Amino acid sequence: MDGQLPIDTRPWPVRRDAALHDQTMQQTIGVVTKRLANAKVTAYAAYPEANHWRQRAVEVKRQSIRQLEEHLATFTQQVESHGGKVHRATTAADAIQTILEVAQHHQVRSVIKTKSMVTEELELNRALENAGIAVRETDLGEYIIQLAHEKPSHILAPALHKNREQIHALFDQDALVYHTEPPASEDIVALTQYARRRLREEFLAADMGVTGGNFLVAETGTVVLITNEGNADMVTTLPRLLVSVVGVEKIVADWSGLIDVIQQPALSGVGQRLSSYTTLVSGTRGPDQWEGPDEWHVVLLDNGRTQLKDTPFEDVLSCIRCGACLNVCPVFRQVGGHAYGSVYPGPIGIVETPLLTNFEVLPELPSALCTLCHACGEACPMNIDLPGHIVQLRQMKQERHMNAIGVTRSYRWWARFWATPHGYRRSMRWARWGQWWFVRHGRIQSAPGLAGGWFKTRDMPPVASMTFHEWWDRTRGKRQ
Amino acid sequence: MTETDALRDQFQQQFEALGGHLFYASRADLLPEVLASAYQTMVDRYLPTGPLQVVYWLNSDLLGWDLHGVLGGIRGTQCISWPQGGRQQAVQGQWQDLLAESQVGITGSAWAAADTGTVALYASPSTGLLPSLLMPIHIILLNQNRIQPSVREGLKRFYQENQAAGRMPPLVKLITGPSMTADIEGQLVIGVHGPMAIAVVVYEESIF
Ligand code: SF4
Repeated sequence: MDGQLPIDTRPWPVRRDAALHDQTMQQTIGVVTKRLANAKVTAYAAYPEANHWRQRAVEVKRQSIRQLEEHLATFTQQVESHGGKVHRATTAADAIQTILEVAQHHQVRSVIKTKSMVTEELELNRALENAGIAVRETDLGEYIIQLAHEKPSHILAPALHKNREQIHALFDQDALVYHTEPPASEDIVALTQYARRRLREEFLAADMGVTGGNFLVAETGTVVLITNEGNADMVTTLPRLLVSVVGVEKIVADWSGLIDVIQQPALSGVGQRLSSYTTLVSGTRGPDQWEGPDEWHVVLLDNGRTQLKDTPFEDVLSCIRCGACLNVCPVFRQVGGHAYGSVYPGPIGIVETPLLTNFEVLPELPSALCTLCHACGEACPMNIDLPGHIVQLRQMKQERHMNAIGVTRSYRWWARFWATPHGYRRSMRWARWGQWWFVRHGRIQSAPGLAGGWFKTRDMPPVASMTFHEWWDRTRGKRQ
Repeated sequence: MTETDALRDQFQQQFEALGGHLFYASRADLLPEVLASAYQTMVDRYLPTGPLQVVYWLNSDLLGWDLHGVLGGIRGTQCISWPQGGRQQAVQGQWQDLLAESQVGITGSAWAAADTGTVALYASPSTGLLPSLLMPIHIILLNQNRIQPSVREGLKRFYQENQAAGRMPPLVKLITGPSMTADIEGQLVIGVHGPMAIAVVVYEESIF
């Protein structure tokens, strides 16, 4: 069954222009993505065995997906024999309904959350708020964008598009609402201290915790959570009621598989050997135990995932959401996450968004936001063939007649020329005659007809007065 | 250098690279002295003023050791030990508030990994994770025989020890450095929700 994903309904040119005019976002996204990409390379270089384990991790994920149903059944049986309850949700709406039922059954008034892309996918916060339940995001970046009523701009660092002045203003506002002391200054440490103090109150008072999950271990019935801030520890340790919402594809068959994958998100995402906190939940607390949930629900979400099984796109289900493909993508580095209009941005978002929804939403992604530079394919620790998939998605769009007739025609026309050396040379000669109407400051800045759209955001050098081919013919070619 | 020393060295290197502090009691009888000086160093550096309240639990090989005798003299420290005899539901809320008001958590640890600088803690009736989370300073006692060469090896041993009993501990935490974030302008800040400073005191063997 097709999945449902929330989208930004602004058309692509509007999203693009908004991103290209956002100086703050461009500045921070550029710096941080480069730093993370470098940190990954350095971490692997200093950890000789890491690449070998990465390959094992790829095998583990692929193998686990192949026997998905079997492993999910084992997982369910394990969790339930250790005091938890597992719910299967086919669609986003099913998951929301399950979570609301649990919350309402316990008369929950306040919820604390860890960062989770799956709950973004469900728009869970909105659903809870509509039901009169207060929700608090506890990851610092998520907390910031929750206050700003915005969406994440990077799957690991959701508030990368905001600068300290903007965050200071948000916190000042929040302090007014909650009658508490505002941050001492605009200093980043002071802002972080404010969040620590404010969120601490909410941690201690919340009725229910909601987490995502980085891995599920079938053999032991374990949900694994990885954070650097420690908020997942708060959420799993403090409230008496815990709900973990996790995509079915997070499953690994057994503990030894977990050992192979557990370091990968941190190594590839931020260049650490392990994140600061790895939390493993394998059941409710025992009767004598002080900490951990009394009641634990695990919601296993499909939302379009299993329809990728047994297709050429099956490897997409191995994604560990490390963000490495975002960090190396030249398009992502320019436009940031919001321009994609999907919960999942970057190369993986380009591939996953149309696939999960059967091209229902944002079908422009594979064509508009990729230059096919293949950087993502090289960076992906899970060997997901992102560039190959993007090409294939473009083909599928063409087969399904999803491109505008004019676009299809002009590409066909272009292809006819460039399919032969003779046609290519002829097109160059024509371009040389025609281009001078469109050259400004030594670059081609516009073009007639449909090609004009291409130049709206780009320029290119004019065809040389003598091309390389012509030069070769005249000099070397003649001599031979 | 023995194998244990080499592992401890490697652990120390990784743990300190993450911003942690390491103190070493090279002889069993030195542990009280080393713990006291670790504690003093940490509080003077990270909490130079104000009252000090410690909540602690210890590894089974140190069980029964009263830390008040060791730390009570330092800036009037109050020491509260983890309640014996398991959870009492009636006082759960008060217990959490008390933890939230304390400044230092001192805990034992199940094992550590040399290649990543990781320390593992489990929640049980007589041990808890909140002292590693709610206070600004967390000090961990680690028996050096529990240092594994790698986090892979540690997780394997963990599995072997617990799966035999039919189930994993319901709540386990691997700590690899202090609580941190780079969520504002990509700049690293230490101490978001969890401790802003962590220290490990490695001891040779039980003094009891
Ligand atoms: S597609 Fe690969 S690189 Fe991108 S987030 Fe997923 S695992 Fe990481």
